[in-house]
Amino acid sequence: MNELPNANDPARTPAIQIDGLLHRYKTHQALNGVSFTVQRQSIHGFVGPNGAGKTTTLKVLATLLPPQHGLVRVFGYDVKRQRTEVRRKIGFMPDHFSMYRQMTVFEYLDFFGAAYGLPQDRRDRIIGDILDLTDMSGRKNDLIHGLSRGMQQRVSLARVLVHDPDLLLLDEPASGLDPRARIELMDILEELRRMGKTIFISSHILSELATLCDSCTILDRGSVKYSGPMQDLISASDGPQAQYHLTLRAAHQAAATALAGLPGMDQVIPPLPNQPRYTLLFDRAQLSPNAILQAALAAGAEIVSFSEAQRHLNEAFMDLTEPGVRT
Amino acid sequence: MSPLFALFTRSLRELLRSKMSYWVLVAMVGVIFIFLLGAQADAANSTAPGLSFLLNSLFVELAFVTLAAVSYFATAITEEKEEGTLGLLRMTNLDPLAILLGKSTSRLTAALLLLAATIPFTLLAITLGGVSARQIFASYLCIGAYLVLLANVALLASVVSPRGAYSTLITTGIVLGTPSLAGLLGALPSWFAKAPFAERIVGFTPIFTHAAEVLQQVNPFRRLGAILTTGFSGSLVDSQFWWSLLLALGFLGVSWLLFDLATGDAPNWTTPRLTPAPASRWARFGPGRAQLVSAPAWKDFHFLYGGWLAHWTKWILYSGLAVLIWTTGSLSSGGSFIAASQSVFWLMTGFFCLEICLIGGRILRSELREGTLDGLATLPLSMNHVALMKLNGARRSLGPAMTMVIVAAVAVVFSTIVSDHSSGEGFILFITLFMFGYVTSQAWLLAHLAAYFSLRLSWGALPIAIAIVLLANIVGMFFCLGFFVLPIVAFTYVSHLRTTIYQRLEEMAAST
Repeated sequence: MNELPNANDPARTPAIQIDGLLHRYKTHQALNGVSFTVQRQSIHGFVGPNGAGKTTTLKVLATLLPPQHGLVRVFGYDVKRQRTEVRRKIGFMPDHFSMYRQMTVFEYLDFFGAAYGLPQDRRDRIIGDILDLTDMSGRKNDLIHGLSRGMQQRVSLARVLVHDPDLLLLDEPASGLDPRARIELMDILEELRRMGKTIFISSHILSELATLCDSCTILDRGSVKYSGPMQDLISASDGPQAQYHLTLRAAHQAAATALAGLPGMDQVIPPLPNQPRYTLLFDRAQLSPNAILQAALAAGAEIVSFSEAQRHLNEAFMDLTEPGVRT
Repeated sequence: MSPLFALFTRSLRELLRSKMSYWVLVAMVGVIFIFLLGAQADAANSTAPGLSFLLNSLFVELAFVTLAAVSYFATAITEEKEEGTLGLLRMTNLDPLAILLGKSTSRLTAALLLLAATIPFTLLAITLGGVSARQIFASYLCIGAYLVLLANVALLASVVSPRGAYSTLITTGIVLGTPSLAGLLGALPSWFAKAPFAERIVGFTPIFTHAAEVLQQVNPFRRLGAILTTGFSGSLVDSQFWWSLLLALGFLGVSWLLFDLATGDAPNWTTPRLTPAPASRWARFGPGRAQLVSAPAWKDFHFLYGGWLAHWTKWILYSGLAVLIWTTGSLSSGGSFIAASQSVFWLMTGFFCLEICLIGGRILRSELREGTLDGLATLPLSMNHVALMKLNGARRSLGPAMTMVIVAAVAVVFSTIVSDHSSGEGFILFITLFMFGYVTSQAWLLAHLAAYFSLRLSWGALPIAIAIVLLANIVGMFFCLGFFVLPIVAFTYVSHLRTTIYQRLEEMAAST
């Protein structure tokens, strides 16, 4: 097992470092040597099919489950031996509503603020800020019982923020929300990243994760299938061969011919009738994107866009995970 | 398979898979076995050892039936409401009567089977002498009819209640209140006869008299008293049996009538509290700001135990009752301050113990029900610390009862000191204080057991805790040292139980 950095070197310490995590329930092995790292001030997506072990991993990170084997550190603190320090650093939002519905929104946040030991004046300031952030200021005196699901989710997120944690562990935060509420939630998460928080988010809504996350881990049957930058995962380019999309104002045969004749161009896939987008496959070593652009312009084509082709996260997910239900 | 039979078999299958059924049977047979040993040991000194054995066994059976009613039967429908599955049942081919029969009949059958399983053991009473087979079978028919009646009373409570706790409370109220109601109804005609409007209501008096008679008829103690007289040769069933079945049918009918009305909407067992406007006079009863030192105590006091409104209501109720008993007890002819103080002391001890037990059943269960255990578990505090903070909230809620117990105890001690000691007041004081220690130790154990079972079972934690403490006390009574040993056992076991509860809380927080 690698020697992991500790909390004494805060600038270099990753937000999360998991190495060789094993966890077994009575009947099955939930985690089978999980290892990955999450950098500070990033949004890290955590995806996997049902039963992959996501919630178990989250519970270990949230100090609810002690790791049976392996090393798990949060900002350098060991989740098993330094639980109190870890709990001060994290805010855990479970996948179910965990709320005192008889309280008002303010009472609920005030309660958790007090439970985390924040003095009243600091609580007032922080609660005001997070109510503004979550757009719940106007509902602070409403009973949680009467709030819609989307609003309860916002209150849940506000509760996670009340002690100003550095790491947010969010388990399916967007489940059951309507599209508007989901988009608004993602905006809040973007804002939190700008504020310097590290966000570890488990979700099934892959399209939103692809745009939101800097990095991601795909877990399947208790094992890590991929962990690294999101860009690398969704990039369609494969090794030395690059794949780009070139969209023109209209189909342009001369440009297509010129591009096909470039040295290192492997294939120019012609566009569909109503969609003048060419897909270009070429060797990175012989041909650069700049040269392609220049050739297209020289042929008189009017360029609308030129970008590296990306797979949808769904495709990557399907490629990396096995079909069927875990038994 | 008919829809009704499907529901019945599902419930019965769940019951037979539950270890609890077997533990209940083992506990009942175990207690009967202890009674048997006691009766055999006492056979030489008794003219009818079989009768005393049967009497003790039937007492346990009645306690079992009553506890089953307030826990097991009272959650037949509320269980589905709380799990949110009643809507699914209503969408199937099942009509309300089929749901009622399917849910309650399976439980009733299981309880009757458990009751029947103890018959071979109680038949041993015949070999001990002093009792006939007719007496045993008549007793079981009496208890069986009582069980059917209570099951249907609890079913009605379960239909009209949004939650199991309310249903249990209603059933308990009916079980405990029926003898008083019978007495009240019986006394009404003589009271009305003296009233100035007697002539106008004279037509109603037979109704009250008849209702009182019916309520007395269904009292199993009256019937068992008749059966267990020496030389009993009456019929196996009498009016108690038939009236119990008839009333049970009536309760089932009312449950059926009210079913749609009481279960029509989606289950919503959390009734929102009223939030007073900030400037209104009611705002002073509001929770105010969370306390930094003990936020969980603040939360529980205001949102679990009723806050300042419940607190002041209890002050008024307890102090009012105490003053009433003191004044009427001291000033009435033949009364004395020392006797009145004793009455207040025991009444307040009763309230205190009752509150402790109710707190035990709710203090942790409420977090499970709200799904908030993981929120508490991720606080930078140990679960032990959180639980102690919650106990602090309970302690504040117990303030009125605890204060009144102390005031009454001081009054008892003071009045004993100033008395002339002609009637052995000193000894009575010693016994009173010893019994207080004994009762509170058992209530303390009961509360912890209720808290423990509330983390293990979805219903009936408090009744099961009561049954266990009751059993322990019955066993303790067989040994002279029991009264001295049980408080020590209670306090020792509580510390072990607390450790188990903390571990269980951590496990549950991880599994939610």
